[in-house]
Parts: sequence; C-alpha cells; structure tokens
Amino acid sequence: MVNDNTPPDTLRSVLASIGVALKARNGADKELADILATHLLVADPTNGVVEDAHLAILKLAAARADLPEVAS
Amino acid sequence: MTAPPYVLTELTLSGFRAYLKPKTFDLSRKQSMVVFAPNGKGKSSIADALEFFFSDDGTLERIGIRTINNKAGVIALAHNRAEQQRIESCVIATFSRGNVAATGKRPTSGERLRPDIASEVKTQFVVDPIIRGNSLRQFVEQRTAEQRYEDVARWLELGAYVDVQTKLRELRRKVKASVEDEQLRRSFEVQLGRKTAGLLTAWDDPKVLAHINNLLAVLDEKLVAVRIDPVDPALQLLKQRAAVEAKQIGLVGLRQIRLAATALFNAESDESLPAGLILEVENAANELTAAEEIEVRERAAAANAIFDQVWKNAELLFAEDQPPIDTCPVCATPIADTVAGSVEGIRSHLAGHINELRQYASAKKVRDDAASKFLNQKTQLLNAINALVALLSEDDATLIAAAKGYATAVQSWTRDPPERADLTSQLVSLSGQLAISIAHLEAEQGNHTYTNTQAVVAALLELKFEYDAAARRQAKLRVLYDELQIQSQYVAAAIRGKVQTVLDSLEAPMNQIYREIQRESAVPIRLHLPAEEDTNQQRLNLVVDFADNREGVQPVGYLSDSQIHSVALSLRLAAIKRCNVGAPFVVLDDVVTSYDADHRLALASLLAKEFAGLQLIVVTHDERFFLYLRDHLGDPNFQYARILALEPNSGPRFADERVSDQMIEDKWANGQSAANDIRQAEEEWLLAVCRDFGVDVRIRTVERAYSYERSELASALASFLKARGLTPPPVPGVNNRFLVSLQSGVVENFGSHFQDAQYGALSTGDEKVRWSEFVYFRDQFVCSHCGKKRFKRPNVGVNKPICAAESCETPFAFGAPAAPFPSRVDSEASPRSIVG
Repeated sequence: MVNDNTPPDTLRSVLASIGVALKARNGADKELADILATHLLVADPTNGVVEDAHLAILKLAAARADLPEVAS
Repeated sequence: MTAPPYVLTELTLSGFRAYLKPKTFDLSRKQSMVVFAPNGKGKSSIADALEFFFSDDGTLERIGIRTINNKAGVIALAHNRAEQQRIESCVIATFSRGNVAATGKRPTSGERLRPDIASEVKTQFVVDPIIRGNSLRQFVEQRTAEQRYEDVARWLELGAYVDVQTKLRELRRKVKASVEDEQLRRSFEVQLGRKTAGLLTAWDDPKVLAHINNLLAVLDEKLVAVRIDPVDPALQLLKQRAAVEAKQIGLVGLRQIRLAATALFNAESDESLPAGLILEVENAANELTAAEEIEVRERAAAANAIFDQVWKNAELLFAEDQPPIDTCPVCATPIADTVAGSVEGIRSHLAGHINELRQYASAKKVRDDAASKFLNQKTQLLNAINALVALLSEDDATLIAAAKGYATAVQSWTRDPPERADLTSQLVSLSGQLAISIAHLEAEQGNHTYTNTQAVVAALLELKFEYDAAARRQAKLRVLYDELQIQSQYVAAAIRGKVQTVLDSLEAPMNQIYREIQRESAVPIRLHLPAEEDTNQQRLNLVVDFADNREGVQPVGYLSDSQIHSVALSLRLAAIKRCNVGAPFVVLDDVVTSYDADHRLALASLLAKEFAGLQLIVVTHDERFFLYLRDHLGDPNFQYARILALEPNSGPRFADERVSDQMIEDKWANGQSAANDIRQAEEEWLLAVCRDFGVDVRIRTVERAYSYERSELASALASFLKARGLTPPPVPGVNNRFLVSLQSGVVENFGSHFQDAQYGALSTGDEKVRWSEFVYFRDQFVCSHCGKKRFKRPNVGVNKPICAAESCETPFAFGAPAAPFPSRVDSEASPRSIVG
C-alpha cells in the first residue's frame, strides 16, 4: 500500500535549504545569515526566538566594533 | 532510499466509547475497511479511537479534557460500564513499516500518555487524516480567511513558514529600533553635562578638547592637550602631577586639620562661631557644680521628705471638699489641741511641706541633667582630640603630646577643670598657621588642583572611549540592519515561493477530486494568498470561478450544499494524498451526509480510482454508500463490516458482510424494511454462483463500476445456462422467470421479479413475497446428487459446472427445489397472491 506522491519537503529541510542558500549568496553577510538560520529558519523555534536573534545581532555589532567584553 | 510507509495492521478498542468488550480489527491482510452502521451504533467510535490514539492531549477535539463549556471531558472516552466490569479502557494499535511492526496502547485514564508508535506515526501526518463529515462544511461556510488559513497552514505546515516571515518582520523592527535608539545618545549627553558642569550638552570632540585645555590652563598654561587620548603628552603630564600632589597635604587636608583644631579651641569665636569643645566642657562642668550646690540646699530644706507619703495622704484627708473632722484619725487628738489648732492650720502646714518636696525634686533633676551633659561633652571632647591627633603629622609632636596629656586629664575630670593653657596656645598657633597656608593655596589655584582636574579629564576620557565604542557599534549595527533587510527579503521571497508552490500543488488535485465528485457542475476552485505587500499573510481565500462575470467569488452563495461539502472534502483528500506519504492513511467518518445517490456513487468511484492505493478506514451510516463502496472497492485489500446493533453489555455487534437469511428475517421481526438487504443478498448470491459456475462476466472499468449490477450478472448467468441447455424451472403461480426479470430491469426492488407490472401500492408484504420467490429460485441451484450448494467450473470435456464436493463432482442439473414453494406468504395486503 503506497501513496505514489513524492513526499513533500519537510519544513525542516526547506528552512534549512533557505538558510544554506542565504549564506551562499554572493556578498552575503554570512554571520548574519547564520544568526537567521540558527534562530529563525528552524522548524521548532523556542519562545523568545526573535529577542534571541536581536541580541545575537547586537552582540555581532559589538564584536565588530571591537568592544571589550566589560568596559573598564 | 525512501522508507516504506506506516500501515495500520491492527486496531483494538477496549472499554472505549461504544465498545465495552475488547474488539479487534485485523487489518494485516485486508488493510482497508468499510464499516456500516445505523446512527448511534458505535461506528464513529472507530474514528474516535484513532483520533484519541494520535491526539496530543489524549482526548477528542469535540469532548475536550475537562467537563466544561458543553464539553464532556475525558471521562466520556471510557465506556460507562468499563470500570464496573473491570475492563481496561484503552486503544491499542499496531503499525507496521516494512517488516517491522510496533504496537502501542493508550489508556483513557491517568496520564493518557501517547505511545511512542503513535507519536512516530503522527510525525508522518502532515495533514490530519481523519475527516469527519460533520465538520467539513464549517471549513467553507463558517471559517474566516484567517481561520481557514490556520486549517490549511496546519495541514501543509504553511503556518510555520509564515511564522518565519512574521518573526523576520519583528526582528527587523527590533533591530531598526536599536539602530535609531536615541536613549544611548541622551545618556551620553547627560553624563557629559555632569562632568563639564553643564558647559557641554552634546558630544563634540573639539569642544570637549577645548574644555579640557581650559581646565589645564588654570593649573599650568603650558599644559595643552592636542587630542582626547590618554597617551596625549599633556594629559600624561597631568596624570603625573596629580600623583605627586596626592602625596602632599592639599587644600582640603589643611582645611580639615584647621577645622579639627578650631573644633577644640577657637580663639576667634564670636556669636556665630562656637568657642570650641574645651570651653564648652568647662562651662558644662561649671553648670554641674552650681546644680549640685542647689540640690544640696534643697535637699536640706526637704529633710523630712521621708514623710512624703504621709503628707500626701493627710492632704487628701483634709482636702476642702472633704467633711471637716474634729479629731486626728491617727492619735485621736482633738484638732483644736494640735499645734496647727484647726483644720485650716493643718492644710497650710501640709501645703508648705509638699512645696518643699517639689523644689527639691526640681533641683535634683537640674543636677542630673547637668551631670549628663558634662559626661556627653567630655566624650565629644575626647573624640575631637583623637581626631586632631590622627590628622597631625610627626612634625606636630609637641602638639600631639599636649593633646594626649590633656585628654588623660579630661578622662579623670570630675570637678576642677584640667590645665589647658599649653594646649590651647598651641591650637591657636596651629590654627593661625593653617589659615595662612589655606589662604595662600586658595589664592594660588582655588579648587583647581591637579588631582581634581585629573579626575575630570579621566572621566571625560572614559566617556570618550564609551562614546566612540557606542558610535562604532551603532555604525556596525546599521550596516547589519541594511544587510538584514536584504536577507529578509530573500527569505520572505523564498518562503512565499514555497507556500505558493505548495498551494499550487494542492489546487490541481483538489480540483480534480472536486470534478470527480461534482461532475459537470464543478467550477474551478482557487486557493488565493494575500498580495505580497499585504502585511497579514496569514490568510487564505478560498474562491471559485463561478462564471465569466463571477470569477474569484466566495463559494458560499454560489455553490449548493453538496458542492460546498465537496469543496472541503476535495481539499482535505487532496492534501492528505499529497502530503501524508509516510503514512498513507485516511479515515472517513460519515462524509456523504450532504450527497444524493449520484454523488455517493461518484465518491465511491473516486475512492476506488484515486485512493485505492491508500489505507482507507471508512465508517458510514449510509447503507447505499456502503454498498457502492463494496462494489467499487472490490479489491482484495478491502474488508467490509456491518454493525447490527449496540449491545449494552458488550458494544457494537458485527455481522459478516454477507447478508444471511436470518438477518432478513430478523429485520422483519423487528418491523423494519429488508429491501436493501434483499437486494444485497441477491447480488451476493448472483456473484457467488457466477464465480462458482465460471460465468463469463465482463468486468467494468472503474469509472462505471457502479453499473456493475444484478441485470448484468443475471444476463450472464442466463446466457451461461442457456448455452448448456439448463433451464430453471418456473416459480409456481407466477408468469415470469427470475433471470428474465432481472435482465429486463423493469422490476426493481419493491416489486416481484416475476411480474411485469408492479405490485399494488402500500403493499407491505411485497418484500416477503419477493424474498420467498428469490429463495425458491435460489434453492434450485443445488447438487442433484448430494444436495450441496457450491459448484466449481466445468472440467475439460464437461460443459456443465460440477459439484464442488470432491467426493461428488456431479454435473449440475436443475431438479426439484429443496423445499416446496410456500402455498401462501403472510402478506397482509398483497392483492395478488403468488399462489395463483
């Protein structure tokens, strides 16, 4: 007993492929793409995932601004 | 390599819903099942069992968990007698995947934990495989675009995609807000204002540098910073000078020492400045001496104060509002004979004594207060001496010695003040010297010490560091925000494309199914997403192109009930078929309620044509639909079951799918019509005898499977018999032959097959007449030798069927029927007795 249809792509695989394609784009900011892939392009996002992504972007900006971890 | 799909191979309902005693459906050989039952006989419990088995919360959607708001709660899952009869209430299901089988049991009580196999199989259900007719119409008629989107999004997991878009928008808003955040800038401005005494309110490097140089110029005009940087030479020099200054007694220190000295003795005191603690303690000592002298004097005046209580009691006795007394209440001496001589005299005597006592009490309190004050001020004086000594340096050894000596004397000071001339003269001298030094420093630099200036500059440098870092971070964040915009657009476009692809892939098969059911009346259905720029993407418009001038209109208002029902059913079926590849499994619970006979046939044909490859569990209360399905889905993977009754002590009672004579008799005994059962029995017999005889029956295509009916079977059987010279004996008393009647098709269910004209109207006995005719005819198909009723195809050289009994194998020939035709059928109103 077989359903002849091709299995639809799973949500996880589709989002993952979007994440991969995002990072592979010419001139793409791969670290930012990685944040989006890690936090948003997932099948089972946790609560507060947007805030987590927001903080990750702020942290990335801070790191790029070469801020020390703790201001003296 | 794709894993094989999950298949339900066994399902057991125990103490669950209508099923009290355990009932197991074996689906291992015939994997699809069609169950017919009248309403309220337990057919939907099968669909319930599967819904419960897979549910997240261990319940059914329509009963909920708690008994509240018209919901029955999980207590309704169990059969009401299960607990009493100690029958475990649960659902057990076995699924196989290839050669691997797994069984899970889910109880209806306790935590109702979902078994692992249920969770595993459920992951394969992209679309809910259980379709219930009573909720289908709601999708088209009652659900809003948002609600409908929720349904379809849940089926196709579109919700998660759009949820990503929503979260991306939210993230962009947050990052943009951070980029444009003015709070940080304002915070810097506030801090800058504080550190520049309000001279600067907005950060500007040249202005801040100018401010620093202004501070440096006060100290040394040659100190000029060229940049706001800790390594700037001028600022480095400032730091060094501040360090040197810190090792000296600065203006603040000098002021502090002078203040401590004048706190002890202030030669320059006037009305506004205190004279110092030394003099204050001496004054306190003098006050104490004076108070002590007064107290001694008053104590002598009140020497007889020991009679205080006597005087107070006597005062009460001789009070003016008391009745006068003539004799002393203590010694009985007549009042006139006392020294006072009268009551008035006694009152005056008493007043004098009491006044003396009051004056003594007052003097004693003054003395006590003075003693306390003296003690407190001595303590303050000693503390002040110690504070001064702590501030003095080794250069002030003489003063320190004098202060310590004086402190020792103060500690033992009780009456006469200790000698202080040496100390006070040194204090006056120190105070004067300090005043000169302080005046000099104040004249030279005021508060602008290197130390103070270094502190201000250091704070500004730190603020500059933070300001620059924040500015760099904001700049980087803006770049990230711009990139986020680009990446969000890319993701959104990819997701929208994916969603549209999914919808498109669903739309075509949905319309195909819809056309199969509705035939020529079907109009195209479209799944319509909002425009891309619409911020609310979580809507799905389901529209139909009703006519050239009515394209993209809502189905409700243009489609009939059955069409609307078909739209919803088509969408669900298409979605299940497309998406549930890992578990190709469909449960249909009473989905033909809105359909007439043609649509039931069409749906049966559709299921046979399009869904025979899936595992179908169909429950229906519609017997015709059941029969149609049996006709159409006549493949070896299907099994059929009828529920005859719901037994209170066990649950649904199933019958074999074949209609027995007893079932028909039972229906009549219960006052019910058996017309459909008779029809089915006739078909079953015709099929069986045609198979046994090897009759050449043309197999219909699936599109016209429903037209495979008795007339064709009868025609084929008649031809077969005629070719072999076998003529069925006529039924006594009637003027037509059974097979001829069936072939002509002019007489249908409720008339005799042996009459060209129908029986009279309102003939309630027609069913029995017809049944007796059929039974008489059927019973002629017996072995003339052994009486058995099963035959097999002719052997080589024999053109007649032969008895199936191996010991017999007698060629078939008509003989006398096993039982004589009844002389009279108990027909209460038949106008034409078959007995001639």
